Amino acid sequence: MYPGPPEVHALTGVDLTIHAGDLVAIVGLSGSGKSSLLILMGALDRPTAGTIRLDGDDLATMRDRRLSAVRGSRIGFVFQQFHLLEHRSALDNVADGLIYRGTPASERRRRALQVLERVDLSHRATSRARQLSGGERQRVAIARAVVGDPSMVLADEPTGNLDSASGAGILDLLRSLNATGTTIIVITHDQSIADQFPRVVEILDGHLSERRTAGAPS
Amino acid sequence: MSRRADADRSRLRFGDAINVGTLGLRGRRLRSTLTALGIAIGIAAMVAMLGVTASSEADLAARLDALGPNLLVVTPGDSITGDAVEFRSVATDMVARIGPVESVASLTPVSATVRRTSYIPEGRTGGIAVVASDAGLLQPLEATVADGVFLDEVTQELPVVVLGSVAAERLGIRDVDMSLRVHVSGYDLAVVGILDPVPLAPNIDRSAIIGLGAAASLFDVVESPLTIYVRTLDDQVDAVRTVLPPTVQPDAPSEVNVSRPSDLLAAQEATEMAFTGLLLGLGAVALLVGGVGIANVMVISVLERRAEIGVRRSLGATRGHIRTQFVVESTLLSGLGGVGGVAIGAAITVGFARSRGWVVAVPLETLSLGIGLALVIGALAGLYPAAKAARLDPAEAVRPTG
Repeated sequence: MYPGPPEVHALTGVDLTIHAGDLVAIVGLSGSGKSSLLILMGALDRPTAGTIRLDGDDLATMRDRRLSAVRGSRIGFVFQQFHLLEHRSALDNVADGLIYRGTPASERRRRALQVLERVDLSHRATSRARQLSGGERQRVAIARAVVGDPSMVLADEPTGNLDSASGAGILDLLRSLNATGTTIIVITHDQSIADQFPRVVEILDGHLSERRTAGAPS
Repeated sequence: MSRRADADRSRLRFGDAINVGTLGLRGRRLRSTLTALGIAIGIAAMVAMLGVTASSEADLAARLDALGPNLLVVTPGDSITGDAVEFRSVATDMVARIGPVESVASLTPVSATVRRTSYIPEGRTGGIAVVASDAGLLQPLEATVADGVFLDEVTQELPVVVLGSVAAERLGIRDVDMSLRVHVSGYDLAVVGILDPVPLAPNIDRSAIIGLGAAASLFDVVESPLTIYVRTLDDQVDAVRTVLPPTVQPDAPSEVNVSRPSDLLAAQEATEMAFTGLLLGLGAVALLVGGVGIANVMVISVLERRAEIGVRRSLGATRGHIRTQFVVESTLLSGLGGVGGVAIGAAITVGFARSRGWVVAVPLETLSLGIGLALVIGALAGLYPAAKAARLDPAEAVRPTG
C-alpha cells in the first residue's frame, strides 16, 4: 500500500528564529536530528513540510539552482573534517570560497588575504593545506566560510577533530568573528562547548528546546 | 538590496572552470599520466599510420614524377589459337613513326646463357636473361649507367655486354675497370657497363644486354622483339596507347598488350594502403579502450571525491558547475594524452620515413585531428561520471566520511 521505505520525520514542530548577529549553539546527541537541522538550515536540502526563511526568502520553495546560489552567497559552512583541498595553498583554499560567485581571481586573492589576516594565518598563506596543523586547517576553513561575507556561518562540530587547546582557539575565533557582526551557529554534541555560548538550542528526538545561559564572555 | 538579487545566481568564470578541471588532475599525477597514456597510444598509432602513409604516398608521387607516367610497354599477348605471338622485326621502326612518340627501344630475346666463366656449370645461369638491344634503350626508360658506358652504334656490333644491376651483382662484378669478361654461350664478352636499377622495367635489372648487331653475328636471334618501350609526349599517352596495337600488329591488334608501369606501381602501393587501413582500425580500437579507461577512472574519482563535491555545492556550485568540472577534467585528461600521442606519432613517422629514405610528410591535419579526436573522446567519456557527480547530494559534505 505504501511503497518505499517507511517515512521517518527527523524533525517535527521545529520553530526556531535566529537573528542577525546571534551566536547560537545547537546541541544534541547523535540521532537527535541535529544533522537534519543543519542540512535544512544550510539549504543543503528542502523540508518535506514547513518553511525556512533566510533574510526573508523561503528556502523551501527554491529550485536547486537558486538554492545553490543561496548557499554560496549567504551561508558559510565550517565542517568537522575541514574539507580543504590538500594540495592547494591556504590562500587558494580561502579564495575558492568565492569561485562560484564569478569574482575575478585577483579580487578573490585580495579578499582571501584579508580574511586570512583576520584569522591570524596570513603568515601561512602560501603553505599547502596538508602542511598545516589541525587548528590551522580549521582556521583556513573558517576563513573560507566568511570570505564571501555570508548572512550566517554554520559550523558543524568545528572542534570535533581538534585537541582541546586548538578547539578553544577555534571557539575564540568564532566568538571574535561574531563580535564584528557575523551570525554564527555552531552545531555540536558537546554540552560543555554549548555552555560557552550565550544562546543554546537543545535538540532531542527532533524537538527543540531553548535555554539562555549566563553566557560565556562574548 | 542589490547584493541579494545579484547573489542568487551562481557564476563560474570560464577560466575558473578550466582551472577547477585541472585541479583533480594535478592532485593525482601518476593516475592522470597512466590514464592519458591509454589515449596517447591510440592517437600515436593513428597519427603514425597516417603519417607513414602520407610519407609513402609523397615518396611514390616523387618517384612516379621522376620516372614519368608517359612510358608505355608493349608485349606480345595471346593469339586466339593460343600460339605464341611474335612481333614483326619492323615493329619497333613502325612505332617510332607515331607522331607523339619521343623515343622507342626494344628488347629482343637471345637464346644464350651468361656465366662468370666457362668453368661454371651450364645450368647455373643465375636467372640472368640475355637480351639484345640497340643503342637507344636507355632513353625511353630514362635508365642510367652506374659504371662504364652503354652500347653505342659502334659497340653494339662488337662482342661486349652491359649488365643490369642485379645481373652484375649475381655475377660478382662491381665495376668495369677490371676489364672483366663473362662467358655468354661459347664467347667471352667484355663487360663495358653496369646499369643502375630501372624501376619501371625491373626485368632489365636481371639481364645481360648485348648489341643487336653482335647478337645477329654471334647467336641465333629470333628476329622479333619481345618488349618495346615507348616514351610519349605527356598529354598524348592515351592516344598513343590506342594506336600502338594496330601499329605493331596491323593484322591482329588484339594480340598486343600495352601496359603502363606507373599504373602497376600505383596499384602495388594501393595494396599497402589497404594494410594501413587495418592498422588504422587497430588504432581506433586502442582509442576506444583508452576512452573506456578514462570513463572508468573518472567514475572512481567521483566516488572518492564525494566530500569535495559536497563542499563545492556548499560553496555555491550548481549541478551544472559540478558537471562542467568533471567533463572539463576528463576532456583535459584525454587532450593531454592526445598531445602526447600526436608527438609520439609524429616522431615515429619521422623515424620510419628517415629509415626508409622517404620524404618526411606529417600532415598538419593529422595533428589537429589527433588532438581533436582525443578531446571529443575525453568529453564523451566524462559525460556519465559528470552526471553521476552532479546528482550527488549536496549534504554529502556534512556526512562523516573522512
